Amino acid sequence: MEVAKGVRSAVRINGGVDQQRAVELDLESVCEKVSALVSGNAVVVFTISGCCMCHVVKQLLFGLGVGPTVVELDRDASGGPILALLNRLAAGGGGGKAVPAVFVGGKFLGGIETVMACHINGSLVPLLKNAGALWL
Amino acid sequence: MNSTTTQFVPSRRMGLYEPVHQMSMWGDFRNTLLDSSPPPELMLEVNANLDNQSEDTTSQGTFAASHRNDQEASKPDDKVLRRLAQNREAARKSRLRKKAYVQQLENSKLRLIQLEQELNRVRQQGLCVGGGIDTSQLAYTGNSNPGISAFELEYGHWVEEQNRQISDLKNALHSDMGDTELQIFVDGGMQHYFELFSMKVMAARADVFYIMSGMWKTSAERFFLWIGGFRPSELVKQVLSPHLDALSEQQRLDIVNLTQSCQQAEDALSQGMEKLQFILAQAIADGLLQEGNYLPQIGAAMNKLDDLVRFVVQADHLRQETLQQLSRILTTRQAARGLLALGEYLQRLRALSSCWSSRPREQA
Repeated sequence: MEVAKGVRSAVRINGGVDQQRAVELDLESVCEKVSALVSGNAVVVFTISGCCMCHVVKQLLFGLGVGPTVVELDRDASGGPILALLNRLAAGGGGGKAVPAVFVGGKFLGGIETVMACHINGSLVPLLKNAGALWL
Repeated sequence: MNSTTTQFVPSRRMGLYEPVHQMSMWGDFRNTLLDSSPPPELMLEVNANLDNQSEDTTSQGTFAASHRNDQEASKPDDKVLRRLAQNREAARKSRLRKKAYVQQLENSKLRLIQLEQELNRVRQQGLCVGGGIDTSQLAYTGNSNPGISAFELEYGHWVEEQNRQISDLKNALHSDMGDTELQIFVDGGMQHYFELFSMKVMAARADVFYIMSGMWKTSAERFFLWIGGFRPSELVKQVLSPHLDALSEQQRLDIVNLTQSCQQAEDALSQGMEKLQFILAQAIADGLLQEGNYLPQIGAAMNKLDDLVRFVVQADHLRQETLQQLSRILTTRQAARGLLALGEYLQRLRALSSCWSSRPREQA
């Protein structure tokens, strides 16, 4: 639930127009769905099938021995709303693209750039281990 | 001189001889005297003799002259005519030569104009492949893309600054400079590379193919190209690790981990690139041998190229992260040596390119 709150407050900060109030109700349900997904799985990656950067993130995680839960938004019924949500998260982060979006241990980690940076500075593997995505 | 005049010469000479003889006597007499002025009587005698002689010869001379003119009357025409003819001939040849020379100049001028036009045309089409930029030669691709032209200019300055920094770093390391001061050089060096990455990202937005092909680099550098630049893992393994001495155990471990992380990240990016190539090829090949134009396919391919820019951005980001992690692992002195090693390595690559391009060619 910590994630869901985090996501909702992030959304509220980035939103703020009349239109957003109506959409927020929908967003609530999407947030719920996403929260459920990410807390139920150690590593969740949201992708779009044609996106090559999504492929990069997947290959990196596979290469480390991680078996992430991959959600292809263009093949998912609620893909659109989830993408909108991810857009807000990405915008909060400062100009990155919405996908790929990586959640580790129920928390939003970031896009390809953040994942790469974490890997190079050595913080990714401990994070994965803590979340139970990696053993040894 | 022809023969007719010579008859009279001896008598004339004979006439002159006597006064000369007398004058030489007077000269001798003069020399024996302390006084320079000769006795007047002697001078008059000499003069009188001369006058007498000249009168005689003049009459003879005039006679001779008139006789000479008669003799030459038929000859001058021939000689003059011949000379005039020769002059005309020479003048004609000279005019012909001048005409030929001017013609040659005109042809050369036309050829020069043609070459200049061709050069401008080729430059505009950007067909000239850049031979790499270093301080002495700017790779002029004649690219009509202002973003790329700006980048090439900036890169030229970057390389100059890089060379300056390398020699400064060398001096700093050889001096007994303290770590605090040395850190300034290290930070400066790192920042300089980060500036290059920013420049490259902007240039990639202007023309991603240019960056992907490493057009601004020298030929040897291009051989090692990986997504528009150097491979971070190679940097750590080949350039730095062998030349870092006195590493602690923790540092050694950190370097090994960094090398591995780099390789894993590079592999992931490379696989993404392969997927992009596959998708792009698919988009272009879609609907070959069918009716209708190929504009939709080209349009689809164009959209995919935005992804390519993202790869350049991420690859440069990886390079930056690697450099930053290195500066965290290493001490100030080690980082300074590492930066110097990298700088020198790149200088050597550029030197190799120059050497290679100026090697003597075998005759065909």
